[in-house]
Amino acid sequence: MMQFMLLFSRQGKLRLQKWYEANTDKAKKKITRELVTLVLSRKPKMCSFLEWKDLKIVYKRYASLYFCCAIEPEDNELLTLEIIHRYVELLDKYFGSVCELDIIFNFEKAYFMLDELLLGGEIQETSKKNVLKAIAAQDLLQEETEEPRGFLEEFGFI
Amino acid sequence: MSDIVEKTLASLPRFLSDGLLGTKSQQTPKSTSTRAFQNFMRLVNGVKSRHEEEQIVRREISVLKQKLSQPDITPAQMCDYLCRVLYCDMIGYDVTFSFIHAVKFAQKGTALEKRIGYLACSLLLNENHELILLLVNTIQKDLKSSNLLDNCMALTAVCQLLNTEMIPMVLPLVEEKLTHPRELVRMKAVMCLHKFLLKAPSLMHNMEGKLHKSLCDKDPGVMSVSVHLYYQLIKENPEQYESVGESLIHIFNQIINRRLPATFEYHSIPLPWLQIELLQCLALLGSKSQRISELFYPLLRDVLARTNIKDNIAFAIIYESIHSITMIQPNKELLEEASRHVGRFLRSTSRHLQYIGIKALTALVKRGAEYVLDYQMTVVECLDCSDKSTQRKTLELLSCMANDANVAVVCDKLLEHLSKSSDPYWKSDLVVQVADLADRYPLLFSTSRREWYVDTIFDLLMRSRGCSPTGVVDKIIKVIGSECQGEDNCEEFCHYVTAKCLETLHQTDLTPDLLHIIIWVLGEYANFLNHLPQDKLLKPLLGYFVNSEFTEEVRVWILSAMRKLFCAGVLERDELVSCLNGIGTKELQTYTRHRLKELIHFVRSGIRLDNRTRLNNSSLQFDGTLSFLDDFVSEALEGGASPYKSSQLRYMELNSLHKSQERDVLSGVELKTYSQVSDRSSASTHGSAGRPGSSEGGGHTQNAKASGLDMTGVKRVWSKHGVATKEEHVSQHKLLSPVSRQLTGENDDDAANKDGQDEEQTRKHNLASALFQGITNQQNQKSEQMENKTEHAEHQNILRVSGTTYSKPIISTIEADPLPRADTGGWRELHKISNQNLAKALAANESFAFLENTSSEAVSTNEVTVQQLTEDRVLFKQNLSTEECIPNKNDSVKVLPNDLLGGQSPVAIVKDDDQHSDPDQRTSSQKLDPNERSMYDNYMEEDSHTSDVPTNPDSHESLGGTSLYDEFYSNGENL
Repeated sequence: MMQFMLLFSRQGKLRLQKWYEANTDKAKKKITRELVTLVLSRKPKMCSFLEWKDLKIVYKRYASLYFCCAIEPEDNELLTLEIIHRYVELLDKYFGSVCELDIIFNFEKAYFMLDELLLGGEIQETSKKNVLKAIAAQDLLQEETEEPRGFLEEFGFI
Repeated sequence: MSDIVEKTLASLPRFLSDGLLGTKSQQTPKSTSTRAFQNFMRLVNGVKSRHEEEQIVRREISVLKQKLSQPDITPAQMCDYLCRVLYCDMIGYDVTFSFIHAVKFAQKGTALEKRIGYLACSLLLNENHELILLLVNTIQKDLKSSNLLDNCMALTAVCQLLNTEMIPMVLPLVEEKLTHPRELVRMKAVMCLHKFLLKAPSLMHNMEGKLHKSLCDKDPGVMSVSVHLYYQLIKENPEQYESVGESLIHIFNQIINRRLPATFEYHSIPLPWLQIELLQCLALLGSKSQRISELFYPLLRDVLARTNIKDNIAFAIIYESIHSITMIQPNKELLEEASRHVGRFLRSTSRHLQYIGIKALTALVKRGAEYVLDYQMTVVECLDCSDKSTQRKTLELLSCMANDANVAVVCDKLLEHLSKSSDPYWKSDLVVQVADLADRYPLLFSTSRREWYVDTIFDLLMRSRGCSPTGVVDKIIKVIGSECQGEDNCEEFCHYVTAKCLETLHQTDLTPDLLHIIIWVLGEYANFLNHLPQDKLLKPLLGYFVNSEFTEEVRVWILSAMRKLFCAGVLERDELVSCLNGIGTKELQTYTRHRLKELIHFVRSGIRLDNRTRLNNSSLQFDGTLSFLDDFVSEALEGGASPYKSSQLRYMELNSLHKSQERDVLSGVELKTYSQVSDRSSASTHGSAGRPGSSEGGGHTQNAKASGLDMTGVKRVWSKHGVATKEEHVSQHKLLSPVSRQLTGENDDDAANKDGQDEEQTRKHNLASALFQGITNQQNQKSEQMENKTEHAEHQNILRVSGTTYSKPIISTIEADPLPRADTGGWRELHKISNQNLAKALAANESFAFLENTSSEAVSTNEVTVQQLTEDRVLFKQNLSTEECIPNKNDSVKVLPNDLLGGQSPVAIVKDDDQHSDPDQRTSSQKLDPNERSMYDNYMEEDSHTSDVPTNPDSHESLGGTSLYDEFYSNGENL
């Protein structure tokens, strides 16, 4: 089970954080600080897996953003790398061609997307199409009620 | 009105850029963020210093606080405020004031507000927060709602926010959703049940039928999430769920035969996540049941056979299969197959795959140590790898493959890394591993082995620097204690241990753990120290006693060791008393001071106790009546001491004598002092009880004196606590500081020493031969041995001598130690040659110097070997021409790409790292221009390279291209 996921920039600024285990704010801050320095200090060719306290850290860099997940020792690291990749694929599809700015200015969307992909630290939906469908349905509700009726029917949500 | 204008403006840049890039405008989401939000972001991201950021954020927070408390806020404004709050929270500022607003907002009407409200709640609150109670009502309402999206949001919130006590309130509603017509809702409901199962397994007893129904759901998504649940159940109780095994195998067959919809494929592999989860479930079931294992074998064979795809996800599945093969009832063929695949991982140049390969090998070695033989050089290279992660995994592998013959070398390696490492968690891990290894192989019947154990443990504790976890020291003491009671040669061993302890005691930088063991040994085996001049012992002990670096606990150990030493006659009475009296008691805690006083009185009294406790404790008997003290007591009574009264008796007396105020104080103190003493050894109890009697002429004023003494003690308890807490803080800092220092020391060993590569090579071979000794391969052993028996023997013998000082060249074991069976790494060839060279060296009368086996001589011989080795390389290459790997001078075994690609046409290789540098060098102000599009654009240009890669059918739908994945594919190509 995933314990938490952090997104941060090369400058060490946090862009997204999702905690699947209850932690106090203080503990969260401490963990974030430690991990950001640890991950940023690693060289590009190094292995993306780290053992840290009693957890395993899996991270991957996409352009200027680091995606960093903490998983339990018995979880499969390569698979976690693919969860990160699937998330990036989804963001990419959703935002057109995603960049750090999209995530900064639309971080709530990035959270919505993450919630559809992972729930309570376990992967929920592995089909890209289904995740995007669910997000689209929610987005349609958000737009002021002029045209959405037809779209909702198209997606089969009404 | 202004709202609309703002929105239009905000969407303009996006609209323009979309038009330019030609992406579908329908695909890009509408932004909820307003101008104010964007301004704030721009400000915060443009700051020059932490101080400036703090100012801006504080100002923003106070504005938000004021605005949120206004009565009439429109939902759109509220969304904006909450987004800003969330951002402040993310960058680490306190936004407690907004929690209640988030909860209220989730309760409000329409879907959009709910969505933001729930998001804010899930990010700001956690399951232990008190405000969650207010949210339960909303969640219940939304679960009952007929709106699909309300249901989804509520289920998501249930998963993230509810704690154990609240589960019963929503459980029936969630169960209802298991039969909802939409698969999305069913899926989320199953995810909630999974969460409940983790938090409150007791509530989930009667769910079997429903769970099975979701496992058989017609939607693959629901089916795959219900496997999460089954995994959890099987993990708890594999026997009970054996029957599920067949259903799982059935599902697995469906996946492999691609009977499920193509939308669930990921990089052209069907349902990889589900595959891995199923492998994990079946591995757990198969480990207990032969039947399931047998059903599982063909599946595993299929999975491993179908893996010609070069993609991380395929490797993830292969790794999981290997892991499963090592978990279930063993099957020889499959283990061989797994070992072959491990080779593919290990030979890869990708660090990830090497890491996974080492991990897989570790799992495999638990089934049979012989599987490691094919990969000796790779393992040794991973051990010297510049990457700490790989190193760490390799060390784990080493400790797994340790056996009687190589345990010393393995421990040596672990210790070496222990002193290099600065990560306290890793250190304590290593300490446990070494202590375990040193302990695992029987110590009895071999004096050298026991001595090695003691040496190793002392070395370990010296290097661990306080990182040893609790329990390790106790375990070590137990082992030493039991070894010293052994039947044969135990006296010799005791001598060795005590000598070692004495020697170590005089070193300067002892750790508390090591000191504990030393003090214990010195006390217990004091009989062996009779010959010592006493100041040699007393001085260091006193030195440690007054050393403020050590804790009170250490002082108490020292005192009890002194008592034992005194009883054994090692320490003399007068000197000990004068030394003890010289100790300043102000700094000590009450309890320690008490023990110190006790010891002084005890030594003065001249009571002789028999200290034969350890050596023949089978006949140990306790004299409960303390009859041996009779003389002492009667003497004291004659001298005017008052008779002993039990604490209750004294308490009652005090009650009658003193007024209420004094009485309270005294009773408290007295109870504390004597209750602590009461569970100590008989000698100390008696000592404290006899104290008034032994002090000169104090008998009549006993009460007053006692009260005076105890009163001062009370005061010092308070002062003492202050001091003690300070000390604790200091030691905590010491523990924490290595974490921060860790970063600086990590990158040292990167630069490869080019000049010394030949020596390096030889060193590695020696290390490999030392590490892998004693691991035998039963299958091919016979035929190999018949061929090269004499050669082997000679070869092994020489290598053992040159490689390590630990191993004992015992002739009888040599024959059972064949060389590695397959020559994939060119390993055996190398050794044949080095063997010949060494034989030459021996023939040239260098044998004695060589056999002396001091390190410098070993090195010089190695150099000779290497020179000749390079001369022989022509011949050597010929030998290897049919092999897939060619060892070259540089060091490692390089793999030809065809080996891994398995004859597939190679895909274009894209260098990924150079691409990163460009976008990152832009200045921060540029970065914040919202017009700027996609740092990933450069990836899009690479798109054509990957067009021949099998991809997910829907990944090419977007007009913008699949920019990000190029990096991914290029990573996959490193093999």
